[in-house]
Amino acid sequence: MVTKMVRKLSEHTNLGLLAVTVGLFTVMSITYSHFFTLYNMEVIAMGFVQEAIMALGMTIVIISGGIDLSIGSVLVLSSILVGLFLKADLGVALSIFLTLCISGSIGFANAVMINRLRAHPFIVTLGTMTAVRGFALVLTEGHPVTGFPKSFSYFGQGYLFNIPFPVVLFIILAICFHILLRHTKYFSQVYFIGSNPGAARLCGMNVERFRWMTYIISATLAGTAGIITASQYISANASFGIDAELRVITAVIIGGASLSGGIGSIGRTVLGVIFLAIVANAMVQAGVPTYWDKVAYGSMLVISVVLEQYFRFRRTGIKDNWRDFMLGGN
Amino acid sequence: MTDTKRSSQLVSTAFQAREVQLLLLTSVVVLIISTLTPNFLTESNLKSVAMGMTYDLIVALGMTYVLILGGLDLSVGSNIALTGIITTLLMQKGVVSVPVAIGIGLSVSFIIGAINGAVIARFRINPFIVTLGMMSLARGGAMVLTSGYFVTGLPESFLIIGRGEIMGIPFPVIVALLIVIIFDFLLKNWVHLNRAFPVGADPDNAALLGINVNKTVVLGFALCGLFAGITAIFMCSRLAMGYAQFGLEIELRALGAAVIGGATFSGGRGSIWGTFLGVLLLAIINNGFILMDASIYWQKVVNGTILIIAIATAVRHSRIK
Amino acid sequence: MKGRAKSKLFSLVVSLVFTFMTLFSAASVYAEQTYGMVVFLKGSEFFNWSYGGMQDAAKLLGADIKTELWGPATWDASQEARAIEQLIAKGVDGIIVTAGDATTLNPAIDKAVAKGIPVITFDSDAPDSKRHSFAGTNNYEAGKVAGKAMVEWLNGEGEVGVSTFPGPNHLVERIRGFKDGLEGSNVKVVAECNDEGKVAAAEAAITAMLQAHPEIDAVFAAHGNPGPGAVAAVKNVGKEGEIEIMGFDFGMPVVEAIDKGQIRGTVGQNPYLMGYISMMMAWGANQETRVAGPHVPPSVNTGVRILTKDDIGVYKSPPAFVSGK
Repeated sequence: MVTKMVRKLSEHTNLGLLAVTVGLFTVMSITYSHFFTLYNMEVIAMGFVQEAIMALGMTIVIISGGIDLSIGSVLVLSSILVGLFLKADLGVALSIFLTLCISGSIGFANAVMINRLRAHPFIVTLGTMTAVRGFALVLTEGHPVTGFPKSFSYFGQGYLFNIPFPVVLFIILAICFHILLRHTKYFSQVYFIGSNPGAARLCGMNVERFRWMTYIISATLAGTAGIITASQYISANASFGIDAELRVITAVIIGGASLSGGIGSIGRTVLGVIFLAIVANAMVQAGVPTYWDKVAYGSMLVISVVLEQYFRFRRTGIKDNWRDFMLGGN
Repeated sequence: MTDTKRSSQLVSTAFQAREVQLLLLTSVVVLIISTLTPNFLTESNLKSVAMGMTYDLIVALGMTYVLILGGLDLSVGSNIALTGIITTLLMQKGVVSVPVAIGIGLSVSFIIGAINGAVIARFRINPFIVTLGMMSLARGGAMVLTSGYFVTGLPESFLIIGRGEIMGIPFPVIVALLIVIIFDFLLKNWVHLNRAFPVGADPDNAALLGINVNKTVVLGFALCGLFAGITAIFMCSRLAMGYAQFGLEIELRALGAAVIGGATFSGGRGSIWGTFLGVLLLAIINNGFILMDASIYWQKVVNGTILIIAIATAVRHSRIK
Repeated sequence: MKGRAKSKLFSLVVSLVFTFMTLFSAASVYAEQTYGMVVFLKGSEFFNWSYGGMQDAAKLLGADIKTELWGPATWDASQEARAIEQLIAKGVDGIIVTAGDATTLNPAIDKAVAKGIPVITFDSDAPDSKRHSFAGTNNYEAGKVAGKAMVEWLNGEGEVGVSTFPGPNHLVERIRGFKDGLEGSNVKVVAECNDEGKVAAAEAAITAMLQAHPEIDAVFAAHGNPGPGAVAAVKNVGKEGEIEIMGFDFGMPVVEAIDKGQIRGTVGQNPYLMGYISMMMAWGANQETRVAGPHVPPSVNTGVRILTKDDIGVYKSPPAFVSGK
């Protein structure tokens, strides 16, 4: 009975990670009295919510066999853009709409370049990442964007049913994407396209067009995260989102997706997100000695992934052959 | 064995086109820049460009090898930092002599790479994740050891390595060039290095051919780590300090240069001279912008665009599907 | 097989959890009092001095006072704000923070104050927030002092090249102050180069700048890293002794260069004092006295001056920052 539950659970999520997350949460709650409080739960959630939202888009991109390094830069650009639009008196709705459109178009540009240039998404999105952040710097020349209208602060600071709005937004988006990925024919193509693009093409799937969709979603979600960040701090400056793509990709990979494509799910990513959010908070609560947090972070990443491989091997008895996991695949 | 040698020869013939293309592109860029500013083709400027690109070049060579294997190494920057810190700390405290300190440092860099390779090979985990984790680990280690302080007070005998000149050319530049020439030769002709090509192109096939894929991977990443270590020695020597923030973002530039030079992410392809030209091209463009007083804000935009354009004008390799 | 697999899973998980636990509880469970310093560039030598000051002050104030240092290593102001929020949730007794971007940190600072946690800013202020006090010199002022000193160095006439990198607001402020400090003289800034914030890149960038502008008489480093790079760059173009270099802060390489006469002087703020006095004020704000508090001045000017060869002796030994304490 238990083994059946365990096996069902392991289809939806990364068991090793779940155990570690629950274990860590329990130990922290017992040892540190300030950990298991409502306020801290909120801090844990809000401390990673931008990455969480972006991780949803990244999941789709990674399952499709690609990667998007430009999300941190799209985040900062959109937070600056929405600020500039608001200051130009375009109103909240129009500012947000324009910003999301521009974010989406960056994603579109990524996809087009990947398709046309036949270049690896890593390089293309790396170029976009540098160029977009550079553009953000040009727009601001190092100065922060301030002076937002009060009404805008709801998105980052408001509450819905006592839960911070960004968290609510994340939950809604996660549920939506989960349903889309699992139960719609169009979106579930991503697994096939990710694991074997050639065969997918032969089956009549339009891989190139699908790619547009994945990168547009990823960039638009990054734009959303940027808008929320701007709203959270009612200001925007060019330093936002540095290294965010690393945290997001870590969350998705720790959750159990594979960089060569075809494997992953929203549920797994959500767990990865929760795990990293808890870890970030746990390190502060426990007062991890200065500079050791990076060391802890690095080792946890590797340990989690090793564990996942271990459990996958135990479950399926299949040891990955080389092709399955080397970056890029064929 | 002959199969692999032949296939690698075929691969290298295919690549001559790419390297020639890059050479032409570089010449065009040099022409443009020297017409736009008189300061480019001066002895001191060229010397400084050559010196500046040494670090990126050596790291990019190691990265090329790993890319040929079908992987990548994000931890090179942190490797540089940690190796540099360990070497300079040893010298600062006077615990061991300079050559021994350098030896220990190079061994450390080699071991870091070997650990990367071993985890990847043993547990079959994606190189992206493993080297990402190592990146944090090594950087954190460098921070822990120094709390961010510079390590100074290094002996003169060490500083000579980075600052010495032979016939007016900085010593590190000469060494880097020698490495390029020797590594290119060995890669094409020495079976132990050459195996990277078939392993990267089709690892399972390579295993069937009798190649020890695991060992090749471990040694390949270790070699990449060693190159990072060499870079660290030059950097610390030339700048006369060890610093936990050395090597930040160098992995991105190294990857970019290697890809411009012809390596791909799917493995089995890569060119040493191509990487060299890639590093050269990027360094020249960067230098040109500074000489032309480009706004520091626009430089980042341009760097990103250049990366993309460089790929666009380069060969369309088969990252198809 | 199933049973063994399950028990292996269990033992693996348990050992993992305990490993994490030991790593985490290396620092004790909540000390009597914990004060947190939050910076936007953890690992910077400047802030290490500040943290050293904070640690020393904490030692004086009581054996049971623990200090911690948090913050991103990447300038990201939003990460800094998050660090503050995490500290609030932990329930620290005081927060000392240098604001990478004031507007971004205002909400977090105000939240802390609302929860009764005293907040003192240092080095980079957040003047619109509810922080109790500010200790430091602001960047604009520091730049202005540098500009005025540069006018003296060049006897009122000359061209200056500035080495900086795009992004952080405080560098922009420093350069603005520098240019204002030059006002009224014939000294002008003719070029700014991008050193990418890195020591290694600074040499190449400044060399190129000197090549493009041979008329430059002096180089101003807007932050701590390009100083040594400027020394090497001047050597590269063969103008040793002809170009003055003004550094920033007193990292060991800059101190050594001043000692050797390669750098004429550096802009020395007093980060140690900033951390030291902030800790005192944060602690003071918590104390109950006869008159209702908190008893902190609105701001404390910790001074800035140009340090030259005669002044740098004390900077040759930075606080021995032992990690984990």
